[in-house]
Amino acid sequence: MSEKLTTVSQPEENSGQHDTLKDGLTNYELDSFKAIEDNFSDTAEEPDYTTAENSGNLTAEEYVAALNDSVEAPSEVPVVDPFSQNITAARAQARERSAHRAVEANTETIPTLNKPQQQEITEQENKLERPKDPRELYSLDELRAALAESDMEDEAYAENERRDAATANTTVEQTNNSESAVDYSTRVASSANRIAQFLTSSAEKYEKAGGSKGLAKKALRRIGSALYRKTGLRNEVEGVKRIVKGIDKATDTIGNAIEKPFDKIQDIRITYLERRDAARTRAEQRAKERAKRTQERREKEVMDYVNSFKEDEHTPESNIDLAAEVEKRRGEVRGKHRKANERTQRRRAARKALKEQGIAFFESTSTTAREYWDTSRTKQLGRSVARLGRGTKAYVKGMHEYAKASSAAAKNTANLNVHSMNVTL
Amino acid sequence: MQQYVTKQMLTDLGIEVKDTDADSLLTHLNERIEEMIGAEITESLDDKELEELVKLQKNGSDDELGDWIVTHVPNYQEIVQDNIDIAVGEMVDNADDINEVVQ
Repeated sequence: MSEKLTTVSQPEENSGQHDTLKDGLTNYELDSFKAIEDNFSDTAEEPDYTTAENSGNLTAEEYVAALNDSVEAPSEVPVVDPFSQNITAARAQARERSAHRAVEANTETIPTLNKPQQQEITEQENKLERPKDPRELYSLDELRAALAESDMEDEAYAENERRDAATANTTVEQTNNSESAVDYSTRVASSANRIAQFLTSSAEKYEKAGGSKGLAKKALRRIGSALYRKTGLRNEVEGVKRIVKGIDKATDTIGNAIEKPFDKIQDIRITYLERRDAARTRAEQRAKERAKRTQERREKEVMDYVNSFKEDEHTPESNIDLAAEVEKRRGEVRGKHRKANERTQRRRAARKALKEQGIAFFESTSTTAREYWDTSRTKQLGRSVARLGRGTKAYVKGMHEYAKASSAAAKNTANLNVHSMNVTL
Repeated sequence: MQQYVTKQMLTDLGIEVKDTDADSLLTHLNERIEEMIGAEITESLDDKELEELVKLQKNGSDDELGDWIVTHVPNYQEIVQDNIDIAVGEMVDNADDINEVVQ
C-alpha cells in the first residue's frame, strides 16, 4: 500500500454514521466494502484520523472509492492528497478513479449508478423468476400432499358438478344480468346442445345395438365428461349447470327410451333364442338316436330273416310273404315321409306366395290342435296309408310276382347262406 | 287347441300385431308346434308302434292315447317343450320381419 486513507472520520466516534452509510449501499457495495475493510485491517497502518475534519461530507460511493484507492491504487492514477486539495477536488478524483478502475477490471459500472437506479434494478431482479426445482420449493410432506390432492381431483370435480347442478337454479338469474354472461351463456348453451345431440344420437345407436341402460349411462357419462372438459369451461358454474343438465336430460331420455320396453323385450328374446338353440341341440341328438335305433332295427330284421333259414322256419311261400310285407311297410314309411314333405313344401309355397302378394303373412288352417290330435292327424295318416295301400296294390301284386319269379334265386341265396353258415359252424 | 303361445307372449317379445293378425298368427304357431311334436313322436316309433298308435287314435280315448304316448315315446315331455322352444325361437328370430310385414 503506497497511500493511506486519511479523509475518513474516526470509526469509533462516528460508528452511527458508519452504519448509516452501509444502509444506503447495495449488496455489491457492501461486499466490496467488507473486503476492503478486511484488507485494510490486516495490512494498513493506523490512519491519522485527527486530520480528517471534512470527511463527514463524503457520499457512500466516495467513501468506498477512497477505501479502494487506499488498498489498490493504480500507479498511473493521480493520488489524492486530502491535505493539499479541497474536498470538492477529492470527490472528483474519487469518481474518476472509480470509473477508471471499473474500465480496467472490465466489470459492470454499478458504482456509477445512483441510488434510485440501483433500487429499480434490484426491484426488477426480484421480479424475475428463475426455474425452480420442486424439491427446493416443497418438502416431502408437501409433495405428498400435492399428490393426494391430485388423486382427489376427480372426486372433487364430481362433487362440484353435483353442487353446481343443485345450485344452478339460483345462480342463473345472477349470471344472466351482465352482458358478458349473456354471451357466455349463449356459447355454453350451444355447447350443451351439441353435447345433448351427440348423446342422443349415441343413445339411438345403443338402442339399436341392444345395449342396456347401465352400460349406456356409464359410457355416455364418460363421453359427456370428456366433452365437458374439452369445452374449457370447467370452472364456469353456468357451463357446469347447463352441460350437466344436458347430460342428465339426455341420459334420462336414453334410460326411458331403452330400459323400459327395449331391455325387457331384448332379455326375453335372448332367453328364447338361447332356449331354442339348446332345444335344437337336443332334437338333433334325439334324431341321431332314432336313426341309430332304426338302423339297429333293420339290421335285426335282416339277421332274424337270415336266422330263420338256419332254423328252417321259412318256406319259399313264407319268404315271399315276408319280403312283400317288408316292402309294404317300407313303402308305407316312405310314403308317410314323402307326404309329410310334400305337405311342408305346399305350406311353404303357399306362405311364400301370400307374403309376396302382401295379402297376409300367416294363414290359419281350419283344423284345431285337438282335432289334429283326435281326428285329423289320425285320419290323415289313415287316409294316407289307405291311399298308399290302394295305390300300391298293383305294386304289391307285382312284388308277389317278382318274389315268385325270384324265388329260385332267393332260395339259392338262402341255401348258399345256410351252406356258408354250416361251413362256418 | 292348446295355446302354447299366447297373445301376451307376442307382446312380451315385442311383436306388435293387430288382434286379427294376432289370432291368425297364434293359430298358425300353435298348429305348427302341434305338427312338430306329432312329427317327432311318429318318427320315434317303429312300424309296429305306429300301427298301435293309429289303432288307438281311431278307437281309444284321449286318456288312453296320452298314457300310450307317455309309455312308448321316450322323453315325451322333452320333445314337447323343445319343439315349443324351437318354434317360439324361430318366431323371435323373425320378430322384426313380422313387425314389418304386419304394419
